[in-house]
Amino acid sequence: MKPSLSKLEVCLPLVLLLPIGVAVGLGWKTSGLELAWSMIASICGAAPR
Amino acid sequence: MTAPGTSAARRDWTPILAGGLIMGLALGARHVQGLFLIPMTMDRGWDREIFSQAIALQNLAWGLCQPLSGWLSDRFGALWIIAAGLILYGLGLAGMVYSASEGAFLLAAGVCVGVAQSGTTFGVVYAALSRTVRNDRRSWALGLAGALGGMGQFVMVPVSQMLIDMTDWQTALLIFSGAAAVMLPLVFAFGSGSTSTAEATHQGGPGIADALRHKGFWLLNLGFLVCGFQLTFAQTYLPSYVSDNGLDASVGVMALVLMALFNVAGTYLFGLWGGTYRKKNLLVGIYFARTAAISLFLLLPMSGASIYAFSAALGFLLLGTVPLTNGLVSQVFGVRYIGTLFGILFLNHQIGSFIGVRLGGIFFEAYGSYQLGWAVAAALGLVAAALHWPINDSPFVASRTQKNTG
Repeated sequence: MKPSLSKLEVCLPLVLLLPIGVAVGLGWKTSGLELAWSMIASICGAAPR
Repeated sequence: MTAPGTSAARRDWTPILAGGLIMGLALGARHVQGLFLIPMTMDRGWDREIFSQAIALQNLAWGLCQPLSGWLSDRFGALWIIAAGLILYGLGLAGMVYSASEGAFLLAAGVCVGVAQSGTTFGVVYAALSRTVRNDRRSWALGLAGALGGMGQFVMVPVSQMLIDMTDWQTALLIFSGAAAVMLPLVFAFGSGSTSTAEATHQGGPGIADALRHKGFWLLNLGFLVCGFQLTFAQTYLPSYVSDNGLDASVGVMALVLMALFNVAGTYLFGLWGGTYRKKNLLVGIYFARTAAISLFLLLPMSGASIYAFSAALGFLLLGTVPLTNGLVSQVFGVRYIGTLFGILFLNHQIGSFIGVRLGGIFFEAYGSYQLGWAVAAALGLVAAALHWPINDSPFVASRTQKNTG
């Protein structure tokens, strides 16, 4: 069965979500790398190695 | 694709957005827990081990409770289970702030939040959406809600970081707890979304026992176990693997950022494609592509560019399996017991996650590298692709007369 979706319904999520994602990603990269890395290192440190 | 132009189609957006927001908060709050590890343990003077124990307990509680939460949502309506999950989530997060002892912290962060996750994430939210959205739009709806959930996960990291920096970890957790309470009215977007609606449209359809006897259901379970293994192994060990190979720690962080970002697009697109193409074939493709991506990652010389390309590829393939697997279950068995059946699948996913993390650690201890773990993840992708190929995806009632070949 073909989905009954309008072009707007198909495209709007991509048009809205991707720029927001890129903006947040860039903000994250410049402001929070150190803390984010400490978070990941903590989790990985807690995992068995 | 045609424009539906109906009010029914327009009404789909409300439950999809509500489900996406609820999953965004639930998955996001879970995703950022690590940010609270250092300030919380330093403040309390606790060992970090207690935090690890709480997270492990939380994963266990989530997995074990998912079939029950799913069944309850099938029986009494997803609306009530999501509401209960949000209340429990709020209490659990607030409990983390006010826990005076390690035992109380384990109860709040481990049991309370873990059980709450089973009521506020894929299992129950997808069940509610499956009943609310029309059959031909269901796969798209699940993909979109999953993408919104993934976006929430992604956005919560800088938001949490900002809140901790501006206030303190206690206030940040209490704000998330309040956000869970604020989201409570969203549950009404699902309407009754309950067993009564489902029963009205699927009376006489296959039951839980029928699914448990269906070979295809167990093939899906095994495939989803592999999904849990690959996903958790990659997310847990990729940053360490990158560092172990002499690259800067920031490369590992960016790799996870890319994975999260491409996951949003992948979840949405695979959901969308699941409405047009056969879901089991898309699942075969995902697992096969994962194997190809991991194999190339292992074989090619490691560099920043190769890691970013791998992270983007794996991120794109990361959670597209969820709307497709959930959609395949409702396609074959209907939506009457979708919460319970997906709950069973999710329990297996969590078992796979547990095996992935444990095996990664064991391999590292034995060989001093995650190389073997990656190789196992790649091989399992082929196994999962082979498991999905023979699944009989015809609706169960029709297949019953075909000797139930699964």
